Amino acid sequence: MAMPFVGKEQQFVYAVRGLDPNRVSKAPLLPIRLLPPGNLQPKALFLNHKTSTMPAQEDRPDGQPPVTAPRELTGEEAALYDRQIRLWGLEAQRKLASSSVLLAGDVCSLTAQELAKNVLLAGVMRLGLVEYDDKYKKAPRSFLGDSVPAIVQSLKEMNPLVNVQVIEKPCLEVVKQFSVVCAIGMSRKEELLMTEACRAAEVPFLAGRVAGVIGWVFLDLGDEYSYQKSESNVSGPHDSASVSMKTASYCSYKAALDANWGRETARSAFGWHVAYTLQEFASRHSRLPSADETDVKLMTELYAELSESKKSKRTNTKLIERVANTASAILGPVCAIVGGMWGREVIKIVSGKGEPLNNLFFFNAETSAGSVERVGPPG
Amino acid sequence: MLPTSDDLQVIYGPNAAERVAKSSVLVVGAGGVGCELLKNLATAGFLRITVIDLDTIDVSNLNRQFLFRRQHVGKSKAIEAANAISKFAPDAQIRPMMANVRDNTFDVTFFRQFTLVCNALDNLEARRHVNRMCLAADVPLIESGSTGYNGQASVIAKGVECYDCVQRLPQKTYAVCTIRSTPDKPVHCIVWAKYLFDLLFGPDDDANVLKDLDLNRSPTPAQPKQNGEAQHTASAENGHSEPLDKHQNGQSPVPDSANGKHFEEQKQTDPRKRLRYSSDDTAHIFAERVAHRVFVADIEAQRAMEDLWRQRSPPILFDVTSAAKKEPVSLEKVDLLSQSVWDADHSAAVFMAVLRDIINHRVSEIGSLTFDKDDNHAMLFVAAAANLRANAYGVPLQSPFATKGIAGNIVHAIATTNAMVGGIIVLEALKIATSDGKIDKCVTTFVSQAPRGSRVKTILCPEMLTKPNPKCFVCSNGQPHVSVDLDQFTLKQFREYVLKKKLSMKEPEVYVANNILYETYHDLDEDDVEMYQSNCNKTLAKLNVENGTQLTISDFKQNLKCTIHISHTENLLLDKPIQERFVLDGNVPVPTPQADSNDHDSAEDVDADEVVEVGEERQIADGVADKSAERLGPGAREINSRERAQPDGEVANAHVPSKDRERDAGTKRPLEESNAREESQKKKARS
Repeated sequence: MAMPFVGKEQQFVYAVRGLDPNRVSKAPLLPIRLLPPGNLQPKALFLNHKTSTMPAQEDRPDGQPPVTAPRELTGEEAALYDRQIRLWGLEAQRKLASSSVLLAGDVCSLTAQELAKNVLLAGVMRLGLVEYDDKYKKAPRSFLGDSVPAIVQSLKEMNPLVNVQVIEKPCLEVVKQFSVVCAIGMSRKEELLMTEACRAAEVPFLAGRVAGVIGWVFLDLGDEYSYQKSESNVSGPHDSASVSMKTASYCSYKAALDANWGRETARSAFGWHVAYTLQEFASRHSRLPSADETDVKLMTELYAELSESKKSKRTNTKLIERVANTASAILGPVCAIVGGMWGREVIKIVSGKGEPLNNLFFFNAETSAGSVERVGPPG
Repeated sequence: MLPTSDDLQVIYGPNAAERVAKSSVLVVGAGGVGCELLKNLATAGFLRITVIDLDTIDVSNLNRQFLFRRQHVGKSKAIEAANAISKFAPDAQIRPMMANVRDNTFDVTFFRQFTLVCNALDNLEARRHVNRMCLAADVPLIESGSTGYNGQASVIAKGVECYDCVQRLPQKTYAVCTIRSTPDKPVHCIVWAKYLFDLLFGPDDDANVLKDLDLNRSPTPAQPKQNGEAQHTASAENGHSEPLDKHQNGQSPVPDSANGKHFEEQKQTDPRKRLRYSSDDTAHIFAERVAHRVFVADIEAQRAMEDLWRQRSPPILFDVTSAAKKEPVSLEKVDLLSQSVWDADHSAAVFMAVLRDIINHRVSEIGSLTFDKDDNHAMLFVAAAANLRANAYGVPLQSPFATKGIAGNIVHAIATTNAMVGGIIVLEALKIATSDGKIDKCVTTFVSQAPRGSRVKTILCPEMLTKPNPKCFVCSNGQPHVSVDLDQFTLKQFREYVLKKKLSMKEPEVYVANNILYETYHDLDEDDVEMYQSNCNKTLAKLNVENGTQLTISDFKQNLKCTIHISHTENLLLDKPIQERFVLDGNVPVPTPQADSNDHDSAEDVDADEVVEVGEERQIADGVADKSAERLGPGAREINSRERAQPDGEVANAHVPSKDRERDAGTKRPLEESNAREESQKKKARS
C-alpha cells in the first residue's frame, strides 16, 4: 500500500486519536472479530455488516479511519461559532468542523438528547445516531422529540451546518468512521462489544448512563492519547505550533470492569460501585431496578456480592439503596448536567484541546457533587 | 408526553409533582443559561413559568441558545423561547415578557406572585436589582452565571448570604493619562478608539476623556502637576514650533504645526473648528480633519509634553490620509471576524473609508450613536482607529477579531457550561418547590474547568450556603462608608456615580438629619422639584454635608433604606475620571495633594493586584467575578482563592438591551483595566 500523504493537518487528526500516522499507514488492518458467543449477540448490532449511509467513507479502499483534514471555516461558521472560538481558538474549531461523533444506544433518552445538542452546537462535521433498542422508557417531555426521526429533524434545524445521520443497519465496523463513539444507556454486553471495536480501531470510547439522581460517564481514550494542553481561557485563539502536546494513558473499559474495586474512602462518591452494580443489575434482570422493596433488596444483595468478589474495602450500601429506589425516574436536570459534562469531554477529544477526564465522571444530584475517579489499573 | 409525576414522586416524595406543577417560576434572562434553564424547568415538570428578557436574538447566540433558529434572528428572546418550550411542553404555561426587569412595572408585588425566581443574567446591575426585589418580596432567588468552562448557581433568601453581601470587583479603570497620552497595551488603544467614536458620533458628553480633541483645546494631561511644567512646543520634525497655552480651560488651539509639505490635508483642515461633523463639511473634509487632528496634531501636542517621554518613546506621527490612498478598501469586503492583523496602511484605509461611509449613509444618526460591537460601522472604526493609535505608540496591532473581543467585552460562552448551570439551577428549584419554599437543603454549586481536590476530586462542587455578611447594606443593615471630596462632588454626581452606578440603586432619595436633599415622589409640587434640582447642582459641602455626616438613603423602588457615612478627602483620586473620584469602604489614599496621584496605592490598586490571578479582564469588566472580592467594610477583606476562580455571568445573555448591556460590560465605562499587574508594575516603575 502506498504511503498516503500525511499533511500537517492530518497529522493532527491522528494525534487526536492517539495514532501515529506512520505506524497506522504501515500497520496491517486489524480484523474486526467481535462476534460474540451466540446468545449474547445484541440483535441490532449484526443485522447487517455493511454500513448503509456513509458513502464517502465507504469508498475508502484502504479502510483507514476517516480522516478529514481540518479546513478553513466559512464566514457563516465564523459568525455562528464566534463566542466559542474566542474560548477554544480557531484551530480547535477547525478540528471540530472536520470531526464525526457517533451516539449509540438509547439515543432517544434525555441524556442522549442533551449530548447530541451539545455536540451539534459545537459544530462537528457529522453526528451519527444508532438506536440499539426502541423499548427504552421514553423520557417525559423530550425536548428534541420522542422518536429518532423527530430528533434528527430537530437537530438538523438546530444546526443546519452539521450532517446528522441515522445509521439504520449498524455493525461494529461503523465505529471506524467516527472520531469518537458514545454509548448511552447501553447494556454491558453491548458496551463491551463496542469498546472492543473502538479499541481495535483506536477510536475514543465513552460510555455512560443517567438513572434517577445519579449519572456517570466512563472514558477510554486508548493507551496513548495525545492532546493539546489547554491554556488559560483568556488567551483566546493562538498559534497551535506554540502549544505543547501531552499524552495520557487510559485504562480500557474491560480492564476497569475486570479489576478489583479501589480503596474508596469515607468521602468517596462511590461512583464506580454504583455504575458497576447498576449495569450488573440491568444485565441480570434486563431492566433497571424499580422503586419497590423487592428490587431494592435485589440491588443491595447484588452490591454485597460484588463488594465481596471485588474485594472492596469500603462500601456505601445507603447510596446503593437510594439509587435502587430512584433509578427508574428520569430527572431532566440530571440529564442536562451529565449530558453537559459528557459533551464537554467529547468536544475536548475531537478538538484535541484540553485534558479529558481520566476516567470516570460521576454525578449525584442529591449532593450536587460531580466527582472524577480513576478506576481500574493504570492504562 | 405526560408530565413527570412518577419521576418526581420517586425522588422527592408524595405530592412532589403537584407541588412542582403548582409552583410559579420567574426566569430573568432567556440567553445562554436562560434557554437551558427554561428547557430543564419544563422537562422537570414546572408548568407555570414567566420569562423576562428585553434582548433580541443575534447570530452569535445560536451556538448555545438552542431554542432559537436562524429565522428568529432579530426577534425577542423571551417570546421565541416561550414558543419553543411550548412546542415540547404544550401543557406548560409560559408567559414571555420582552421587558427590562428593572422597569417600574416589576415592583415588589409582581415578585411576590412567584414561588421562586431564577436569574440567568449577564450584568451586575440587574442581578443586584433582582436580589433586592426578591429580598423585599421574600421570594427565594436562584442566582447563576457562566463564563467559559466555569459556572455556578446559588440560592439567595433571607438568612443566607445575598448577592450584595459580597462586594463585586470594582470596575477597573485606567488613569486618564494612560488612555489620553501614554497607551502601552492594545486595550488602551481600543478604549481610546471607543471614546473617539463616541466623541465623533455620540451625544455630547463632557465626561468623555477626549473632549479636548473636539473642543480643540490642548490635551489634558492626567498629571495636573505637570501641566504647567511641560514644554509645549510642536514637534521638531515639522520645523515649526508654537507655544501653547497650558490652562485647562484655555481656548488655545492645537499647535498649528503641519507646514503643508508633509500633510496635504492641512489645506482643508481648519484647526479651530470642532472635530465633530458639521453640516458644511463634506464626508471627505470631515474624514481628513479627523485623521489630521487625531493622528497628527494631537500626537504633536503629546510629543511636546517632554516629561512624558523621559522613560518611554514618544508617539510617532502618521499621515493617515496618504496611507489610506495606497490601497483603498471596500468596506463591504472587510471581514470583522478575521484573525489576521491589519497593518497600519490597511487600518488607515479602513479608517478613512468608514468615516466617509458614516457621513454618507448615517448622517441623521450622528449625535445619537454610541459604540456597539454589533454595529459594523462602529466596529470597523474602532478596529482601524485602535490600530492607528497602536501604530503611533509602538503597541502591537491587532486583528479585528481580537479587537472586537476586547472592545465588546465579549465573554466566552459555550453550550456545555450553560447546560450544566441550567441543570444545577433546576435541581435547587426542585428542592425549593418540593419543600414549601424552604431552602435548608439548598447548596451553591460550582462548575469548574478541571477537577479539584486531592483525595476526592470534584469538578462540580457543592458548598453550604453561607451566612449573610453583617456589613451588607442590603440584607443586614450594614452602613457603607464613602470617602469623597465634598467640595468637588455635587449631589447629582453623588447620586449618579455612588448611589446608582456603584451601589446599583434605582431612584435613591437622600436625607441628612431631618433635611431632605433629594426625593423622588412623583406628585411633588413644583417648588420642591425646583429645590431638588438646584440641590443636585450644588456640591455636597454646600449642602452642609461634612466629614462624619451620616446620610440616610432610601430607595422605594428597591424597598431599601440605609445609612451612609461620609468622609471628606481633599483632591481624592484626581487622576481618575470624575465618575470614580470616591472610595467605597476602602482604604482612602493618603490625602497628600503634593504627591503624584498616580503613585497612590489606592484601594482599587490593591484590588487590582489581587485579582491578577483571575487573569480575566472580562470578568472584571462585567463586575461579575463572583465572590471574588472583598467583603464590605474596611479591613474585612476576605479572599477565597477557590471562589476567585469562579467567574460568573454570561454577557451575551442579557435581559437588558444590547446597548445598555455593553455599557454594563464596560463599553461606556471609562478606562476599564484589563491587566492589573502590568498596570501596577508600570506604576512602580514610574515611582
